[in-house]
Amino acid sequence: MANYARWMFWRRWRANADFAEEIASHVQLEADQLQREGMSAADARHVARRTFGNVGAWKERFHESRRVLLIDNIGRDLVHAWRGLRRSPSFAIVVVFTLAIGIGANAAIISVIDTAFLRKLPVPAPERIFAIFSGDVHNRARSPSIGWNSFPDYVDLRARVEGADGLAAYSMEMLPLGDTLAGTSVWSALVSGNYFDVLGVRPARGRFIRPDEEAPRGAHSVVVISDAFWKSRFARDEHIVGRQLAIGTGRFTIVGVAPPGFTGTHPEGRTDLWLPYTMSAEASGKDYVFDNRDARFTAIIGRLAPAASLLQVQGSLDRAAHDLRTTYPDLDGALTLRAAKHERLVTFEQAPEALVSFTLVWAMIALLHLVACSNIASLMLARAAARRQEVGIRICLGASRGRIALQSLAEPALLAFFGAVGGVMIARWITLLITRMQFMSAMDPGLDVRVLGIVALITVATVVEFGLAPALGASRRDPLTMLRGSSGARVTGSRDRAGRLLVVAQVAVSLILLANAAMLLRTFERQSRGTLGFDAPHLLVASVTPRSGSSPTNDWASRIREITTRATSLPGVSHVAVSSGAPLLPGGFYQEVVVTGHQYAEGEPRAVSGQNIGPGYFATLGATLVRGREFTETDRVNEAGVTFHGFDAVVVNEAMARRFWPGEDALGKQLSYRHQGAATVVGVVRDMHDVTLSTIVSRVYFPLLELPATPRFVVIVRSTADPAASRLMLRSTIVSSSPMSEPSIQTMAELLDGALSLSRIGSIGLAICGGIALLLTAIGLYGLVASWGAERRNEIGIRLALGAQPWQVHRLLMGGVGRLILVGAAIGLGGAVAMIRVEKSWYGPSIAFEAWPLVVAVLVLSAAAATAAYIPSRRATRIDPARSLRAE
Amino acid sequence: MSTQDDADRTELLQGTLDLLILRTLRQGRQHGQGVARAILQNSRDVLLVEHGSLYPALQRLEANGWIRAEWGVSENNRRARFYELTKDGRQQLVKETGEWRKLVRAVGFILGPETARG
Repeated sequence: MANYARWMFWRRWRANADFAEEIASHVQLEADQLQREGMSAADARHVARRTFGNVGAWKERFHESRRVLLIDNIGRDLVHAWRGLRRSPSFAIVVVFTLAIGIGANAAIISVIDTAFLRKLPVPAPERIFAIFSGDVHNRARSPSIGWNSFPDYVDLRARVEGADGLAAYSMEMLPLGDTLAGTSVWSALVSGNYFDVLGVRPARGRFIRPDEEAPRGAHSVVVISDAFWKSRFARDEHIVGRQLAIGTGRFTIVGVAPPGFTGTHPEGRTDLWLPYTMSAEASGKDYVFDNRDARFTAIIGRLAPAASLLQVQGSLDRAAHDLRTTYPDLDGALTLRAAKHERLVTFEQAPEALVSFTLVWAMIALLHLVACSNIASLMLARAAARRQEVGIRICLGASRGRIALQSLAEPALLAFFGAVGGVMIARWITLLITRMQFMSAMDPGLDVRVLGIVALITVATVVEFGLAPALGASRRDPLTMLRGSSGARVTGSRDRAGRLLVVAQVAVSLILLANAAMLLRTFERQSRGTLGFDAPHLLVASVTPRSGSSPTNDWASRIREITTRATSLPGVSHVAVSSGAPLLPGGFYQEVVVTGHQYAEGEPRAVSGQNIGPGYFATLGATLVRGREFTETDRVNEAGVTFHGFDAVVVNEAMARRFWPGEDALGKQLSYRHQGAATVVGVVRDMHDVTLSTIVSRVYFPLLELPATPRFVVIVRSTADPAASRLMLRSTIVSSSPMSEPSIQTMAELLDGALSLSRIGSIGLAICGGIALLLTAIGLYGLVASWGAERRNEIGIRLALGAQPWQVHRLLMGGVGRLILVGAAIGLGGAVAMIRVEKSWYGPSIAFEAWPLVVAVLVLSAAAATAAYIPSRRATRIDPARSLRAE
Repeated sequence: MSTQDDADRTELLQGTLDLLILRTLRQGRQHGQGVARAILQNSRDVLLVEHGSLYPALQRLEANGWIRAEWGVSENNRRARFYELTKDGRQQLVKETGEWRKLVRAVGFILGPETARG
């Protein structure tokens, strides 16, 4: 055995030259002998050679007899392919770039989907983790309830749920940091003391929050930080445990670091800090609201006890919900509870639209990549056509078909390798871009083995997609025909038809994408010009939060009045209004209302967008009241004047009026909400783009009376003075009103920019997709016409020799292309119109549906397609007729 | 090159070439051309070794460790690669010879006496 191994080693080094020498020596010895037998020297050599036969073929066979040398062959093929690519750098660069984009984009999206929807929570036995959602008895018929809970409800449930090995709760909040990190806010979880115990996670450093640190309120200033936070903010400080961190108005001791990869249990963003929920007032600088049974923004998670089932948990939840309904009829009167598995970061029922849209995006990218691969395949086919003679010679010299196929595969493999390297970089870049968005930050898959594995898989699939067909084609042809330099049999009809179909599909897809991009850009342009429904210039919006410690009582209302009065007297200010939100500023909410007299269909949602507004809100914005009046001072205070429950005036927008009172006068109609009596519609306001730019939603405006759960409000000022000066004056006015913290002041123009940037990103993304599709279509057409040219070279040569003019040949090739473009454009046009229709039904009338973006898209596409086809077609007409005739 | 017509020559049976090479090499080390010549002569000019199969066969035998090769100089001063039997090769030759004789006898029984003479 050892002998054999040594021999294998030696044999690996037995060079070609050695074997060639042996054969030469054989022929020489044979010739010597023949000469001794009486032949002339020249004859002897000739006969010896002839007897030996095809020297080259034996050499090749010698090669292949040595399996060990397969590696050598592959190495040589790769070097050969590398040289080939060096000779056509532009081809190589285009292909590598296209592959890198395709591989990278696919890998990025797949790994984000993987992280969010497929990977399980990084905790022991994740399949036993479940979540409890709240619902409303009135909405039972609707899709599964996914509502959140309140901490008081959680504390009650903790004692009552059966079949669970602990029940934990957390509430997410953006917490402001202090000291050196002032100005930054981090996404944090305010957790029950047993949060980490229930999950079963082990700290990477220090310890986690203990169950006894949950109470009493405000007593345990401890915080656990995430691995990412530790790395980015503390530069992996080894002595991190015990350091202080200023959060909100409090100082917290860092007691531990979570293990890497544990980004919390909340899908909307990576959790960086974990604190006891009883520290929320200190950590947020806001009031403590977690003792409010109606403050439902708490998630409850639990771990199934061994041998317990979710059904058992659900049974005890049903009983608990019944008890809560009877014990707290005011607040929990409609409460239902539901247990659901929570083994993954995002469950499908929590975010079906997220999974669907990600999958759609991925499908589109995969489709583009597939199209790109087929295009590259046809380019490769055209290249292979040019190399036919070389392949023919090699086959005649004895290369086996397998060898030829393998060698043809070397070039795609090399291209795909470079594409994969670029793809990893692009994938990383795209994931960073995606996860930089706050709500996606928990979905960073990192650059781990799974991502690299995904890239590798896609790359192999890519090689197969664009490399295998040309490689097999190359090895299958008849060497003699190839040697003659003619094309041999014409490509089979099915392949040719596939190529045509591909081009038609590409033209259609690019047209759809281009038309969509053009339409979105047009919509965006129209929006920025503004049919906003309000008058954006000269508006300043100040978001104000009361300083912590101040008790929000009646006092608060008088402070607001004071700010309003003082702001009105500022120079240049014509209007001032106070509200819970401003156009395009988050702060609206959804409120379940029951419209009196409206027959609700089964499952019809009752929630409508709402906003609390003060007197003069619409006048300040420059909105138009179609009917009635807006709120006045008298709507602000009810008869009792102290406890605000029940106010009887609302204003609705036109969309709301159209929805519930079509064809009627909405004025004087009634609706009820929460457990209040009926309120009367006192005004109808013209639709505004005040929630999003893309669409108009049905809205109800309530008088600003009641304190919201988080007492934040907005001061809107219309001022003709210089914005910078107005901003300064408004700031000092608000700050001097003592219990108010530093306001954040933006001009409406800035808010508009921010909102537009989102739709801008969307349309730019679509435009890029359209551009890529256009490029791919051009490449595809180029490849198709080039391969036509190569396939029909002899035919063209004969035509030219028989007196055809180059322009006639040109027309022959371009005519075929033209038909394909026409068919593709017709299909694409239909698709684009259908797609825009669908989008219009989704987004409403703000989507611009005009003819000219379609016309532009068709023109751009045709121009690009014609150019792409023209170049190879022109080359085909430059064939030397004599040469191609000779070849035939 | 030879006295007989090509028509009288016989193609080698699959697998017999290895045996013939080993048998030829029992008489001493020899180069490829010498092996081919020896087989032709010893078979009274009947068996013509396809040169193209000779070298793969030599490779195969070498790989199995039955023969080994080294470069040397021929009687008329040409550089050539000489092959010789190894210990394993001798055992293999004995084994294969035995098997061959058994096979020939068995096939002879089946075919019976030749009709032309009988």
